[in-house]
Amino acid sequence: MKSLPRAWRVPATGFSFLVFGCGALVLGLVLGAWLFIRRPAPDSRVRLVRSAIRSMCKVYIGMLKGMGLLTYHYEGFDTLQSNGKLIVANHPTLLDAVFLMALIPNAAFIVKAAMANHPFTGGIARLAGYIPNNEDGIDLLENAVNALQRGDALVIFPAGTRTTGRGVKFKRGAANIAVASRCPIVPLRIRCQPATLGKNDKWYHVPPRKPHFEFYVLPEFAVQDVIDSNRPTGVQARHLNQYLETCLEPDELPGNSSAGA
Amino acid sequence: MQSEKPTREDVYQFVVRVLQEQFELDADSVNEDVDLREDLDIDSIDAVNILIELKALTNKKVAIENFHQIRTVRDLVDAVCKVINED
Repeated sequence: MKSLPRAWRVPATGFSFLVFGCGALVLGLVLGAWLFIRRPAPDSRVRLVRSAIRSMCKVYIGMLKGMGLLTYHYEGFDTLQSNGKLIVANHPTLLDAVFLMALIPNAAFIVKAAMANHPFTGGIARLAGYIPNNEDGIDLLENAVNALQRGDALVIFPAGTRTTGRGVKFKRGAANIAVASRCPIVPLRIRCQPATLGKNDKWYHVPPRKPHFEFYVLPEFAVQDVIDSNRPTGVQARHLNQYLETCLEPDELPGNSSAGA
Repeated sequence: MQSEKPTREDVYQFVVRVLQEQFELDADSVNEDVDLREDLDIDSIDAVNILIELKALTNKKVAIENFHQIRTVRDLVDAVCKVINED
């Protein structure tokens, strides 16, 4: 795979960040104004905002690919067309959510409070009905269960923040949501080689070669398929959380040819 | 039926049993000084489950204000005793 030189990819990456921030802000403002004038019903409003986000993310990813900043591959997303499922993904890079926003229709995301309150992204996140992950887990649980019952595809990154490597500990929010709602769970594995845009990477730390992103939707399952659902809910959440941690370990990826060797 | 108010020791034993049964914690790992979040990995959703279970002991809804100020098992037992002795 031919890779454009870093001398190009560094400024191109900077430009992409700028486009993303401005894009989110402008999309939020334009949609906000349009919705204010037209006042569609709340249900169709959220759907409309999500499909606008989806289109913009598709364009954005197309732009990144077009500028030679990345390549990608995805599998199994046709099974996500029917909703009310909890999609649980690992979270290696900053672009994971953007890809999933482009790939999954009518998706609600559980977003960090920092993102929900950010001046650039907060407006659009609220319009799309994304659920802020605040400190009090009870609100989160209620909002998430309601979203699933409404038929949203709910996406959560249970690691809580960007992480790579093995042995990542998940927060139990995702497991608690699944136990409380009894919804189907869909694990989604994300891999990015070489690693880029991680938690401690600055935007200008572009990898030595163009990164390749992979997204695999794994078979869905029910809570009772993998754990004893007659135990107290606290025990169930712990067991399910362990299961999810194992299920999304990076080494288990299909077609992984001992990456990093 | 006239029932006596549970003693502090009753409350403590009850809390330990709830922690064991609801979260598979080892009885040896629990004492009054352990931190619920740091040492026992109890999150805010677990806390709600604990309060629900405590209803069986206190015969009334245990609403503890400022739950995030409760750090240790001792804090929790004290808070529950306070609720029991309120009336």
